[in-house]
Amino acid sequence: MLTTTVRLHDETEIEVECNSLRQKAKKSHLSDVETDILIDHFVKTAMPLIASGRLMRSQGSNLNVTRSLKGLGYVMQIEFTTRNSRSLFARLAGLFSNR
Amino acid sequence: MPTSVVSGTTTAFEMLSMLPENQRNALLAEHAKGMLDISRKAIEMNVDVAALSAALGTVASITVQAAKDGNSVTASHVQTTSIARTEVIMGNTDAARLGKLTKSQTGEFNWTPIYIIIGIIALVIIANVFGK
Repeated sequence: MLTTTVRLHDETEIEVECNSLRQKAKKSHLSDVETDILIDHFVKTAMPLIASGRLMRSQGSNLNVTRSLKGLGYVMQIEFTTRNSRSLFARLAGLFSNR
Repeated sequence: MPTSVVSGTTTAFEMLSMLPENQRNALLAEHAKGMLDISRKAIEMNVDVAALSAALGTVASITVQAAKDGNSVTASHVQTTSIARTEVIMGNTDAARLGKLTKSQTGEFNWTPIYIIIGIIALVIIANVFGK
């Protein structure tokens, strides 16, 4: 069972996150089919958020979104924040987690 | 040279017709300048209102779509124009329901983490002094 939290922002590269998720799925012993379903679910959720976040940021607005994704063998929490609305603590945490 | 201006009051008409021509010219020039200033201000306000309207429209449509997709969403927009400062928060979360923007959302610098860090440093220094 994979339980994870994915933090996204409007500059997130979706491919990098997918690779990271694949590695986590492998460690959690998810099958290839389950991993593909998980990645598909993630991409379909994350892509519109990133696109909306970019649009919001370009006009100076902030967007904060949380979403819980559940499927066969995984529970994933997605936390999306536009970069300009991140608090100082979040920015410091982002520096250490390379986000 | 006109001897009156449209002002809505008879006093202004009477006063203008009684003035010598040079003073009347100066007053009319000032009046025309005032009218141009009002016109310019109105145009600026219209532009600001249109920009704010477009921005809020985008925020609203993205918020509605994100909520429809099943997300917990909080969207905020802060804009200072020639008319006023507008702070808007939308969404389906408790934060949106409360209607209070955080400092990072309003763009203000949040000093709280700095105070906490200073407090921790002070505690470490005090602990070192008393520990010796």
